[in-house]
Amino acid sequence: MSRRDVIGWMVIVGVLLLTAVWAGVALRQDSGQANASTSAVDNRTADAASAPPYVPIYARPARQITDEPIYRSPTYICLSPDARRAYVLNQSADSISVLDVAARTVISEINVGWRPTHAAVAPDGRRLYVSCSYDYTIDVVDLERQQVVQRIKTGFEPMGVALSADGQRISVANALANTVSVFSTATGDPLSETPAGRMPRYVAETPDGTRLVAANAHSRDVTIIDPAQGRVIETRSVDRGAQMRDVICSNNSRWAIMTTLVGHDEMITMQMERGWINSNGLIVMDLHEPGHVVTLLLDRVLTGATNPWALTMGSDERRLYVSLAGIHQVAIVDVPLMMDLVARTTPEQRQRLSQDVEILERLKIARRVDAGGIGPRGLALCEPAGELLVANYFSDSVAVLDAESGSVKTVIPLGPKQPMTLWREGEMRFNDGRICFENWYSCSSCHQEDSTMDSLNWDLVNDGIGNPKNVKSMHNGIFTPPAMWSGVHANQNVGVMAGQRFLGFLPDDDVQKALMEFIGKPKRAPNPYRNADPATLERGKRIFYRARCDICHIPTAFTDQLKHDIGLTGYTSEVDFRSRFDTPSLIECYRTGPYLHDGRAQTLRDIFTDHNPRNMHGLTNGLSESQLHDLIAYLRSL
Amino acid sequence: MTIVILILILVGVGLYVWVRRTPETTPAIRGEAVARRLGCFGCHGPQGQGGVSDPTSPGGAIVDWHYATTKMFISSEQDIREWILYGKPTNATARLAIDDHATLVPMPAYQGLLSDRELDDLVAYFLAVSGWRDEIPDDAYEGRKIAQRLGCFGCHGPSGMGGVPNPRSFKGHIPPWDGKEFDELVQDDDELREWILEGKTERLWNNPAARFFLERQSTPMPAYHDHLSDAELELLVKYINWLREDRTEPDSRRAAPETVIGTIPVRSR
Repeated sequence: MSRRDVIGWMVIVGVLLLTAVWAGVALRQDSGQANASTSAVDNRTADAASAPPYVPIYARPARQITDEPIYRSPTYICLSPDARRAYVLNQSADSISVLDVAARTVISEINVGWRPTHAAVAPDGRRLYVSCSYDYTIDVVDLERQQVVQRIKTGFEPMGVALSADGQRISVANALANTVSVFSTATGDPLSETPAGRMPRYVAETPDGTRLVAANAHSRDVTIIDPAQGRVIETRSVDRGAQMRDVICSNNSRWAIMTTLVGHDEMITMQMERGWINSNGLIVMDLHEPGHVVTLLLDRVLTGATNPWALTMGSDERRLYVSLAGIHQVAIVDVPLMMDLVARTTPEQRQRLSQDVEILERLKIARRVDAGGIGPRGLALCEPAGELLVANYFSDSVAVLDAESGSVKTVIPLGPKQPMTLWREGEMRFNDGRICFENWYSCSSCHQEDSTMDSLNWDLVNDGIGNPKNVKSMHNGIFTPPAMWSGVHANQNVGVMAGQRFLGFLPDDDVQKALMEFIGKPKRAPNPYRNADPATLERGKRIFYRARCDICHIPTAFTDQLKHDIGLTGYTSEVDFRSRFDTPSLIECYRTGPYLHDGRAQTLRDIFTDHNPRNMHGLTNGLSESQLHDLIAYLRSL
Repeated sequence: MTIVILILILVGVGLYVWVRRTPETTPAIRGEAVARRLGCFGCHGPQGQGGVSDPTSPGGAIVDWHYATTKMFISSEQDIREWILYGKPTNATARLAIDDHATLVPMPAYQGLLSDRELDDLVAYFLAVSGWRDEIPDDAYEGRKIAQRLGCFGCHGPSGMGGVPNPRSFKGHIPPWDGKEFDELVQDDDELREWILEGKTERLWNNPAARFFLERQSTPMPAYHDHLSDAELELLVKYINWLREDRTEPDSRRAAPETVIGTIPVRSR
């Protein structure tokens, strides 16, 4: 062998070695990322391995309860156009279970982003658009390849999505950003972003594509948007409606129907029977007639329809199915009867109708059947088979109901049965209307499913009558006793005990333990405002101290746990007969608006511009616009 | 002889009446004079009720002596004394909250410009004006707000601490709520309610000597019976009683300085 041959061989071997090393490194990176994406979820299918790496936009916090089993927590179901496959969103497992409806089995499980909440299938059945609330994305899943192929960046905390009839547009409700965004499905480019009310949760587009209806869960109104222009057509009040969830539109594009609670916070919370505190039902609105809103209750006189959640309607519009998440039932509404009642009701009679808890029994507009599991949320109607699929959040299963009779045919588990931790039990109790006398409401009816707030002012009698107070988030209660605005409860445990009495007269020790575990260890949403410009946050922090906010909102709990008068009541106004309120913690204040004890400040900015004329709530007078901006950026980051 | 005795008796009675008619002075009343002498009101506003504008001060104005705003600068009575003497609190706990950002009109240091007794009086006046108390119970606090709403402090002085003249009345001034005069005019809570609701009490109205002055005084007590609910009346009574309880043990508040940990030596200015 000549020297030239030796050199030639050495070059070839060297090139091969380098290639091998490069390939090895690349593979290791791939598998490392794949591991990162699957580490939170057990026993995934082989398809998951080939999925593109899941890249979180914001770092997730470490699991707060380390030995917690992985629950699926199905929260929404959608069907393929041929109704043979069902896609179940597993909210706490960050995945989608693909179901073969006829075979009653889970075929595969697809990884998606953090906290999938709602989804829509493209009309051709090839793609699934999944809103991932805590990643602020719509994940586009290629259903043939069973993987996420695109991630569309949305506003903060996207929840409900809606596809236009032609599949060209996808709209999403950004619940934290209080906007509705529309994207092109072809390119993923944003077409518009429209301001909505407070916390729009779900959206629906009319089949003719002229209107987009966003239900604003925390501002008691509905924003009707022109999806092509991104322009607000109408903001419609829903009267006593509160915590609205799913929205659907009728085939003729005229009617929008949404699930709602009817929160009677205009009255003293002393009498829960007959729905005098909370009742539960539907809102039917005529999109062609401004201001038209009819509220129909699904309660029975002795059993409320706790927490109506999702909706689905047959294409023939004969039946409407409503999941009642807190009483573990599904209401089957006779649509012709319901629409007849809506048509017959004059505007003067609407308020009476919204308080009539007897229409279900007297007029037989609906019947309620067992949901086949605990915590029914998502619904899907499989018309060829005449079956209704119900996603039962706490049972980790999908129940198959006969769409005609409502009887439970079978229950499809979404994964291995997991032991129920105390925390999970607490979450279940928190959402469960069965601990309430006559099942009118659950803890979550006023505190949402994440134990925060509903933005309403309730007049609880524990601090006197005639002084309604804004619902407080319970997230910080465990380390900031006393509880309640007036500090009437020594600590959160006493407060939750009182809450149990408020619901069911007699507190139960086991329920109390579970509730305290759930409420005391809140799983907080990631705070997007922490990613603001550090220089802005530093300036804001300096203003925070200079305005002496820290005297009462002492870091790191951001409260001194004492009562103070900040000049909102007493001799300056006659709103309340108490002048001093417990200093609330500022942690998570970015999502707990409106602000102050009676929610009079709609935004953090309003606190300083409108409600602090005498510097009694911090020395904030004379702050420039930019200083105010910095201060608010800092407050939001807490 | 009888004439001499009569004259002596008359002189005695005259002296007694003269002594009785001398208006009572309380620390808060004296403190207002001290504040006026030192020029406090120039920056903190008349009676400390509204600071003048200062673009460099947080909040856009020099802080007034309102309870909510003073709370942001003061955590104990020791702090009040140090603000007056040194222009800033020097104890460690209070200093944590103070930024050293220079303002156009910094708080002056009055050390050496007032006696210890004057300092005590000034602090008493400041406490009265600001209503600065940490331990005030809820009911008493709401009573104070009602007193503010009804304008009681206009005549009875800040926090009811007296000081407003009332010509042709027995003492020539409107009685404070915290001194001994109060005991002579108000024997129990029922009489206090009577005063507030009717503007007079049956006991004194039926006494010819008292009635002479009650009818003659330039500013009679107004009757508030149409402007107070029963609940508000009770809160007001609770506040006045709480004020009086508080005043009977002045030393309990004076004990505060010893509880402050870690004072920093005073820097000369």
